[in-house]
Amino acid sequence: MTVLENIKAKAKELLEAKEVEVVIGFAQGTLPGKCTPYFARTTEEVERFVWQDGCNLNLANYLSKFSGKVGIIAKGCDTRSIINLIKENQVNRERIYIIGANCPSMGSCHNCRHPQGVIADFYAEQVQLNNQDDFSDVEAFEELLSEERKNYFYQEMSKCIRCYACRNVCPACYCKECFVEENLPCWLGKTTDLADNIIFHLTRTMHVAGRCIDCGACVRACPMEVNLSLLNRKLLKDIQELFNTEPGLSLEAEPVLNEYKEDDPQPFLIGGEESV
Amino acid sequence: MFDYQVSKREFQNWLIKMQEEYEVWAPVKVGKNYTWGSWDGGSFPDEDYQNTLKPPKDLFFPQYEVLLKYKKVKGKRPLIIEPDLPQEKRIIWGVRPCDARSLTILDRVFINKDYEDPYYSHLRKNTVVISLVCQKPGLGCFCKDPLTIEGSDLMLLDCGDTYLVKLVSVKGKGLIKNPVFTADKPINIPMELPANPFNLEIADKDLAEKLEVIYRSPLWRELQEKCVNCGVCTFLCPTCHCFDLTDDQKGKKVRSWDSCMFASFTKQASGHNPRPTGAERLRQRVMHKFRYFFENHGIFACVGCGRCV
Repeated sequence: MTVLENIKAKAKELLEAKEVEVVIGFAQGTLPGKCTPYFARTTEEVERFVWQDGCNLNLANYLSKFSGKVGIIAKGCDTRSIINLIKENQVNRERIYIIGANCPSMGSCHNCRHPQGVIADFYAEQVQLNNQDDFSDVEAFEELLSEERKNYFYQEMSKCIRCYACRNVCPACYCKECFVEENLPCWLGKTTDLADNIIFHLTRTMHVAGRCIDCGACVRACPMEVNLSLLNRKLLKDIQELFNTEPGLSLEAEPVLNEYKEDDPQPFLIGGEESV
Repeated sequence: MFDYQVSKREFQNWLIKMQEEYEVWAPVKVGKNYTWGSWDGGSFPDEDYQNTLKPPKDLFFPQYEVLLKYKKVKGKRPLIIEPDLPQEKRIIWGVRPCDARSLTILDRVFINKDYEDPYYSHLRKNTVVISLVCQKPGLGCFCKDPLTIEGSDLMLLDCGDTYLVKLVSVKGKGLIKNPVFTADKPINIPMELPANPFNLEIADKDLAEKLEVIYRSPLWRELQEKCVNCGVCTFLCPTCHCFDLTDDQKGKKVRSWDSCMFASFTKQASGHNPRPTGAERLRQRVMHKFRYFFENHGIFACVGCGRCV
């Protein structure tokens, strides 16, 4: 059986047995090559599922829309976001059934280390892929002069129209009220000037630091093609180097920036390198 | 009928001459996308030019606009400082006909018998719109008439080395006093594309009535399930025009774009939200475009540019 057949068979089984009310997956989108989230509630609807290049949104984002038992077809990124959501008490593990499958959009993220589901109740395919993320893109950027890096970010951030698509597709951005909407006090101006845009993106980046799993949903959702991935990946690289860990891989480990240890590396402090 | 044929070289020279008097805006290629920017005096949209990422809407209705400033004066009423409206005359060229048409839709909102918005109206009056006919539809396009002249002052059709020019408005005709155009005798070329690839109807005339019937349909709940309630579809829409009025801390009264897709759009001071979920928000957007706007103005607030798709 193909992966898609396995997915469909499991989804039908879950719906027929009433183990779940709905299965979250993908269907063919309006435009060629695009896939769109699809919510199957009947075995007939399951037939509309696809699993192909273009199924690249992070479906974990949709779990909070449902209160009952939910099945979800999850690739590596989705499962890592689900782990984070469970750990942060946003999703109840008992309420979800995870159908794991390898990411079908391998072309779009060259460095992906975890295309297969990290946790699942059922794996629709068994192939284990072992990729290595060398962070060569971040390293190349780090090599640039600070002026060049600044100019690059200024150029990217100035494109932003503050539609908040990046925030709204991000499973880590689940705050009921975001700081950008607060108006007493008003943390952030309403302009799309560079200053306001930068405050928005840097604040968001720091807020998802240690929780962002680099699924790239924000980059894909951006209508202006702002490159947000570099900021997120720099933080992932730092986390890797300083704490030797990756977010969203285990249900037990505390997200790295959620806890404090006396021997935490702190090279950003004066004399901090010594403690590394 | 197109009225003139002009070589691109001559058109360029003419436009450079116009730069003495006008700010000239054009689709500017950044990376592989087009965005609105100051024309460099030499570039023409290439064959990859489908449309700009953002419509020209914010050249007339900026995303953030200071309407007035005020100062506290002890013991007196606050001092209100009205802004100087920009005096620059502008030409924006290379506008796709759908986007040019969208301006006539915005006009109905900001310049009507009950009210004329001085900020919008000023920018509209000072601007000449030169549209450029699409030769092939984009993936998401669903416009009804790629040759619509609504909203254009002049209209261009790319014929390789030349442009066919149609004089549309009085404003457009007034602009053509330059030898480049008057030297040639007007020609009469029927307005017909080599092959019209657009054959898409936006909607039926009775759509507004149909929408009224399905106001309470479960369809909205179904449709919104995948919507993440961001502002892409409204911010990129050439006709969406909802805004917020706020006071910033420095004594400015500000108008900025808002979006009916945002949860905060209808949130009231009490905390109550009459549109509590995505279903009501999505319905509002569709209803506004195809029912309420139609009932008020007799047209849909959609030009089929396809950016939301």
